[in-house]
Amino acid sequence: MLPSTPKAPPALFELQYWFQTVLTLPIDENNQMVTNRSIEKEACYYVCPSLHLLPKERMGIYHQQYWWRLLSCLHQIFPTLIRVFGYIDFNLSIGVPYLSKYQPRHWSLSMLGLQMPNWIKESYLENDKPLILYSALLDLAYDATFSAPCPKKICFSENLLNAPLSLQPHVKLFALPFDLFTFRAALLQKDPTFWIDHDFPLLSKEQNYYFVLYKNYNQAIIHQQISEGHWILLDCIQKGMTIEKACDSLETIGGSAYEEANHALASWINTWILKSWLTPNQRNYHE
Amino acid sequence: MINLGIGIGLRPEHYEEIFRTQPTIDWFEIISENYMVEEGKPLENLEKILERYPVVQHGVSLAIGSPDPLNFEYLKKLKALARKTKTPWISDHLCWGQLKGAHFHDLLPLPYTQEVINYVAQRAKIVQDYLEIPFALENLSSYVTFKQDQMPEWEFYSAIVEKADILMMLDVNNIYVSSRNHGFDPKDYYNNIPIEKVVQIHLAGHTDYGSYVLDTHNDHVCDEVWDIYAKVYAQTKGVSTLLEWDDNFLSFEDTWKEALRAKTFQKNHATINT
Repeated sequence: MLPSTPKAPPALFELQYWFQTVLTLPIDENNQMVTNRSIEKEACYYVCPSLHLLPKERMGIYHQQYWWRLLSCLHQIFPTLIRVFGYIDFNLSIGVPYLSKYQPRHWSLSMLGLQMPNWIKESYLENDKPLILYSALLDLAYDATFSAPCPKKICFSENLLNAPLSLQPHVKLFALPFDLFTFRAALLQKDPTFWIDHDFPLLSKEQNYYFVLYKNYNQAIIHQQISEGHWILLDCIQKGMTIEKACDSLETIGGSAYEEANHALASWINTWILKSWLTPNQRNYHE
Repeated sequence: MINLGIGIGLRPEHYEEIFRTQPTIDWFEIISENYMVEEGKPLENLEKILERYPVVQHGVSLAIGSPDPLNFEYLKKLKALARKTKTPWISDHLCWGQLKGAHFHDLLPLPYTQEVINYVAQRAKIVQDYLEIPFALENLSSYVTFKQDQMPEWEFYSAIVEKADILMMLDVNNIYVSSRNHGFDPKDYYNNIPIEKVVQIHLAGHTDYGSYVLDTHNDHVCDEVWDIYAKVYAQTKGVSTLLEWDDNFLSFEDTWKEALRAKTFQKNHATINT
């Protein structure tokens, strides 16, 4: 039985409630609070002046620190987005609106960016929305793969084709309408400020692109372009299908993807095992 | 309480150098939250550290003075990590940082009132009892004082520690930073706390903006802070000392050299005790 925790004194709660309303006011490009409220008057009620600073200026220190810490954390999580927008535009167009709508709800900063794809879907209105959304997803995938456990070598029994499987946590799949991996790699070669006055690298859009992102045994994060059939099988396995059922599923799609799988399946399975992409799975299959 | 000697805050920026050179260092302090995960790279790195070095856990997200109920899911993970690290004590900050489920990821100051002493002391006692490990609270660097305040910070801090029967994680840089921001004499602080409750001392650098001083952990420890350290350390029976460095990183070797400067200032203690 866990102990019950005491109730906060009302005067403390009132102060803290006011404090957080100031802390979370949006910040502008000059690092000032964006508000119609008279923070100067409010701050004088709660906060003492110092020898050099007025109450509002003292609160401004916390306000700046709050935003700079969270925005700096987003800069680390989303290196592609930072290069597409530049620091200032990212902060104003993405970071501040995102953090205002999705205030951090977890004690770990590692969770800070997880709602970004949702925010982009709901609130980002520009024409390049697919690029921005997939860039966010890709940045999050790199972050997750980096933090994931090392690839685990697993000995599978002989009836591998009928075994319930899944993908190890370091493996992420992407089906994209453009070659975002090559674009991202070229972007990341330069600092964010470089791209403010230089053209972006080429973003190839001739076809659909299928990728697997994974960690090798040296902990390096690798992206590998794969065929559509290869991707479909891995996607089925990711959802909990056996290899045999994944093949059945591919057969119903038919076409060149199925033909290719017919020829390449043994080699693909060999790759999956050698690179430790697979793991046994006790979950039921989810469509 | 055991004196571990001189340590450094473990930061990912130094992993490669630490794993390659396997330096001789007394101990590391970890930020608990960075390792409160089920599995993955952070834990793999921690395992390697634990093979060679004592580790002490220091947290940033407990938010002991927040109005929200204590988060026992968080505490459960903290306790599980403590079993793994065998930390001799766990520390966090005398602050708040959470309200109605929102986390502000900052160490926010509390008003120094008797009501708040009672509130925080009750919660700190619950935390220590739950963790079943000695628990210490660290004094903050702060940038505001409140109209509600009824006493100076050192009186507030001491009262909570005494009432909850917990320990002090005394940050001497924070004493200096707050003394500059609020205009008090650091001597008034360290001469008026129960020094026998100090289990560990933090050292760090800061940034002086003229009209205020910010606790940035991005520079060498300044002379004034070393002076406070020497005075505090001399009053103790010898306590674990740790250098925090969180931005504008130096190499591990140079960070360790900075931490080792503490030995010079511990001489006072040796002289007094011989």
